[in-house]
Amino acid sequence: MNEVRRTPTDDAQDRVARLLALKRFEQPDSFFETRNEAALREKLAGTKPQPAWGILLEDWWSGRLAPLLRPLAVAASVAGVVWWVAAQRQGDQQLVPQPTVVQTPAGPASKEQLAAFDTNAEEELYSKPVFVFEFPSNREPRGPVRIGPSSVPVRYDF
Amino acid sequence: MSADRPISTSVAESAPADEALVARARSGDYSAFEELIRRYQRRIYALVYNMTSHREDAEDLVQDVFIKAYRSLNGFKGDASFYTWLYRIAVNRTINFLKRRKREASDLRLDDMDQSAERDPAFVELRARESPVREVTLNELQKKLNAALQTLSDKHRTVVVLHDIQGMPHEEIAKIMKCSVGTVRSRLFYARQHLQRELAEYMP
Repeated sequence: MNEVRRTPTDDAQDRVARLLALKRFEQPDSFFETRNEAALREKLAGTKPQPAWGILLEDWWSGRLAPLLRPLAVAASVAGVVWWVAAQRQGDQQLVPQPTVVQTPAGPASKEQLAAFDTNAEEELYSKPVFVFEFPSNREPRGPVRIGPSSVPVRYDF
Repeated sequence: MSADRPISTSVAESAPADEALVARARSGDYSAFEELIRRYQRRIYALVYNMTSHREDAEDLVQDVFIKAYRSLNGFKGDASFYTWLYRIAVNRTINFLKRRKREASDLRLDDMDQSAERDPAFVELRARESPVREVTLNELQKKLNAALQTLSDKHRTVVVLHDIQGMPHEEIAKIMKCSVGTVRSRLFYARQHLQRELAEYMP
């Protein structure tokens, strides 16, 4: 058996421990338990254990999040909200109708301009068909026009 | 202090286990939680009282601890025993409270000391020594011990209270404080050294 060597430091530590053990004789008054149980019954009346996610959130906020980080977290949240509001406003501004372009009435076109516009003047090979409604006055030689319930008699003249 | 579960030894064998009471309390059976309160309120009070040296603060904190425990029952996973979990809540709440407390450490509001302490070997030994000044009284020693404890940092005080006053083993303290056993031993050593200087007049 190895004998454990005690040093003066060990003895001093033991003496402190023995003195501290005297604190076990400090006791609350005899009504402490009754008072405590009654107070808890009153405070917990109608309370139920929180759901697990609520506990996690509360622990994260109150205990696990370092107190130094708490103001930073608040500042970041505020900055996030401000940024979101600003982004929303910017989006709204883009949706605002742009000022309409004012069209000034065109002046009389020059001959060159007219020549440029009239692209079909010289090269037109075929005449365009003319859409003509059939009226009794111009259908005489061909006999009566049959008109259906939803049709309008027309012809093309070339 | 070799007991792994120093608190449960006081619970009768026929009494329901803590975990069974927790399960009942979770489903809304308050009487089950009240049984847990009865089992642990004195221990939690002793812990908080020795940490704060203020009986009114200690009573408020004990209520706060049990309210927090009740509301967080669904967060108790069962990977540690219920009393370890409860102690962890108590230690955290007390340390948070002490950080906020602005009061002077010298403002002590102490419980009465059981007069049977005068028959305790440590006190008898203290009295038996020749005192050049005067005889040490129990109340005087009580005040001095509490004042000395208040000079320690919160973490060092927690270790001293749990080990030397509550008789908890190092391993259990490590679980409660979520640190290594080596850290607990180291804190205990330095806390006692500090207290030795503070209580020099009571040391031979």
